[in-house]
Amino acid sequence: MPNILNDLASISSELFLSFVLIVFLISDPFLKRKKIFYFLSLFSLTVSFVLLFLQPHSDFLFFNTLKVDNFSLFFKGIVIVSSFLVILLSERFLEIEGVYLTEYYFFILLATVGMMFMASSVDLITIFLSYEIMAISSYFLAGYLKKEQRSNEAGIKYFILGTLSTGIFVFGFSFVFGLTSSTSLSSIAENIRNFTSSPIAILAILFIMSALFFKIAAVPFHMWTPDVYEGAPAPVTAFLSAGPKAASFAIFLRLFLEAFPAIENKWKLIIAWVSFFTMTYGNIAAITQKSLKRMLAYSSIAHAGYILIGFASGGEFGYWGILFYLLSYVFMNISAFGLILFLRKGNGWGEDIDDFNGLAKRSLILSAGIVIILMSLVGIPPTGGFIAKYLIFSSAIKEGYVALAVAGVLNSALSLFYYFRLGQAIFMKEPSEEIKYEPDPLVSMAIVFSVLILLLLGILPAPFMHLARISIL
Amino acid sequence: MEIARLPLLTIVTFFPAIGILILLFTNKEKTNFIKWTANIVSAVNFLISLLLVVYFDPSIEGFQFVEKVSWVPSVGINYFMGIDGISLLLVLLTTLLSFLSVLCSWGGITERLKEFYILLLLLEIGMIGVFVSLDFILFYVFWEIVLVPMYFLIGIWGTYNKLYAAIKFFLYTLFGSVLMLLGILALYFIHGAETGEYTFDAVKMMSYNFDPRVQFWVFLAFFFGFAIKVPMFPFHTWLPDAHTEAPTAGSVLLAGILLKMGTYGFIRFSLPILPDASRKFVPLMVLLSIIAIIYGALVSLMQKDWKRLVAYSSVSHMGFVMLGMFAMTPVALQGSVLQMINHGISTGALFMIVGIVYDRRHTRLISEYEGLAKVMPLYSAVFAIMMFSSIGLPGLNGFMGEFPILVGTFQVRWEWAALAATGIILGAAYMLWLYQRVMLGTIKNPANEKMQDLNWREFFQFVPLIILAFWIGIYPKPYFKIMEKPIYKIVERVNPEVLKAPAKFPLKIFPSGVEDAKHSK
Repeated sequence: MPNILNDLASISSELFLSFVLIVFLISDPFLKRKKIFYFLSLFSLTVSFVLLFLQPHSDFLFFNTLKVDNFSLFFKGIVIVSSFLVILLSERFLEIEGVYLTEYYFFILLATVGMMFMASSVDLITIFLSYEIMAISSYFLAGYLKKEQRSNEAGIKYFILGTLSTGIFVFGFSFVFGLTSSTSLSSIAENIRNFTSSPIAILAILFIMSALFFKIAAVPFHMWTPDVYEGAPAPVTAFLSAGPKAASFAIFLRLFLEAFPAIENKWKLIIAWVSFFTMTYGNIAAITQKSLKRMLAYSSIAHAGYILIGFASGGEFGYWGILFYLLSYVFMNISAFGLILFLRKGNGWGEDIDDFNGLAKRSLILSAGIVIILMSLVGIPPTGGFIAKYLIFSSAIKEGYVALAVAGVLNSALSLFYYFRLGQAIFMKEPSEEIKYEPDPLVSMAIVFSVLILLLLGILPAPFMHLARISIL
Repeated sequence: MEIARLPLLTIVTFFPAIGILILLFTNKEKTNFIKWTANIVSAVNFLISLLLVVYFDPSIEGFQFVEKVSWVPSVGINYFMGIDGISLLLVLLTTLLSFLSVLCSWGGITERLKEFYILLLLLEIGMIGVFVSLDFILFYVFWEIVLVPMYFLIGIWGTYNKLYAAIKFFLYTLFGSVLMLLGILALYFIHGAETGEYTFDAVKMMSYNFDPRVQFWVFLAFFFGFAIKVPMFPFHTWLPDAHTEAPTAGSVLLAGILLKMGTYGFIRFSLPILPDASRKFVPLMVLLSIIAIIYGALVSLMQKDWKRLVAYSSVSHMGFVMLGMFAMTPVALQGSVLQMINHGISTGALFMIVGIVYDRRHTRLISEYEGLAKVMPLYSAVFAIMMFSSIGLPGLNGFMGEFPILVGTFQVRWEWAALAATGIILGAAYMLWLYQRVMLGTIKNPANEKMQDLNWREFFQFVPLIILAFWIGIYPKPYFKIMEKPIYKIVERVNPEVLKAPAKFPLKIFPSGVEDAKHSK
């Protein structure tokens, strides 16, 4: 096997992170100062990000189970950046909560490795394995605060529902394998052509879709989202809402565009309806929320709905829009959840919208930044959120899904109502004494960086749009 | 001629950003410095915008001061700015009213000055940008940018019901504008598919004939965006709340400029790009306009709140603008555009007038005031001029807008003009009655006995508006001249019959009006 070395070179980024993980496990018992792991994880993520640019492209790695193309590199980049930002947010949180353990960074990096493999998997087996690496790490992370009831509940709930959905996922795979006697996406695509009207094929994609809808939190498989997002520690919530969602969209796109294009007309219709219900439900449910975490949880459901518009309508603009949307989505969601880490309420954190009352009087610059994040979430220019929505709605108009586009824009106008309740609290209400504003330089850095990127994506979108365009499948 | 080569429109649009940057890094305790900076920046921007007048050539057809830079080449978005006569007038109105509203906040705004002036300057950028953009996406960007500072202006410095008014304003207009975005995207893809050139260039679309069925749906999408902004009946319900609760500067800019964004959208984009649909929608648009004229005036009559009365009068006046626009004759359109400017001048001034007594007494109830003319003679004189300007007294600007609108409408259907004319009578009724109730009579409320008259700063903020009111009222020729070419072009596109057929009532009102241009062709 002479080309095994080439294959290894093509996944050098993942290999490097895996190597660091082994170092974590070995060195942990011998090191007193655990803070070194914080720097080590930031450093190793930076290195693996750089390695992404050096990896040779290759279509048939490891017996045609992995693929390194622009698409996978794009998602790997998103995943690494999001993990990096989450780690920046986490340090102070862990210190204050007193759960300063190596495992936290270990699981974040492990999940990152899993997500990176998800982005380049082109075989049912590798898809399943990488998906599980990501999923199991995130169950641990959701329940990380072991003394807090909410966190335990979130961990257990996420675990039970998550494994159930994984079971359904694999069940769907077994049908596909039964029909096509292959696990490789390219040969599935060839063989499934003979079964375009077979009910088994429909059943198979229904199962697979359900599991993926669960992961991206689409209606009707969204129930876990608000509870898990609320119960999980704030930086973990930021993590769960960003990277895993992007990576799940990566395998969603990969599976359906590479393996099932032959039965496209069937799954597109399902996705269109799911998209409609997801965004509408997410937006309506978000209106009444008092907790910022729950509100953002429902908002992330709504965002999954918008992204699915691009999936349902398809075409160049659709997939282009999905990639650009996920790029800006990661920054806006991580920074939005990160805001919680600025406020202390007693022994806890300022998780309610009311806790942000009068923040503008304490820090005008931060408040202005929050307004930009909110504008991006609504989709108001000049922010990345606007360009993302513009591309998504373009695809719907172009491919003739006008009703979906109308529903989408009306939903995004409606979303203003709940997002700007936060703006209202910050600027138009009086601060209360029991909330303490405690800025931390690292958290601030992550937020400022995200805000600047969101503005950059909105004002000078051309290079990023180009990047997303060359990365579509 | 070096100045003419500068990117003047970009400078005018983004000059306030300098003020924003200075203010961002100013200590919020330095209130005087903050006030002076904002005032100077907005005044200088007004002076810069006057340069546009100097170098503007009204005899050229098409857009001037054009700047075109590729922004997102892959989808055909350009940074494309340019003005014609119509947008020139609106840009000047914007820079003037922005300066005056910064000035009129000197005494009235006492807390969180820094944020206040930053938001006002940001608002100015957005408003100017709307009037100079010729690329749809650029236009949309500025259109939306306007909403955010206005939301905060109402929500932070407003009165009683400010939170409700602020979010209502934001939601209403956002709902309209996202639908407009869909219309823009539809035009983009259809234009691209049919010509092979995918572009958001509005000028190119103005010379392309879209299929009438496409036009119908896009007109509807644009209609929601623009009609909510105007606001046309029945989308006007956000207006009284937002105008009434906003701080004085906010009300002045809302009434003076933001409403014009809607009418400007119709005249700039809907009429020339969607001429067939525009013609088809005339009955509906005229009906809604006439309802707005009469309904707005009737509701104004009933108001107990001074500011709310002025707010509802805007509904009525904007009805005139829309009526003139959809009469689609050259004369009516001229009146319509001039009425936009007039409404900015007179209603802007009326809101400042309410603001002055509100700053002194902190109430807007009409019943709280009586006989103010005794203690505030100068104030009552200013109010009288602006009231007559708003009513449409000949010799003042209001007349020069309403009269051509009625004449032009009359040429099409005399019934429309007759119905609209009742609005003028009602307008005189509610304004005169208001004046009588607050200014005349004897002072019965002891709190009014020691009311201060205008100080020099407050008086100064009315001076430019009074000069303009008389100027337009007595010698409107330069204004008509500036808008002559673009209006002729729009009429040629949307209603060419009216230029060919001899007018039913060949009235020749204005020496240099479009009528001349027509005959000389």
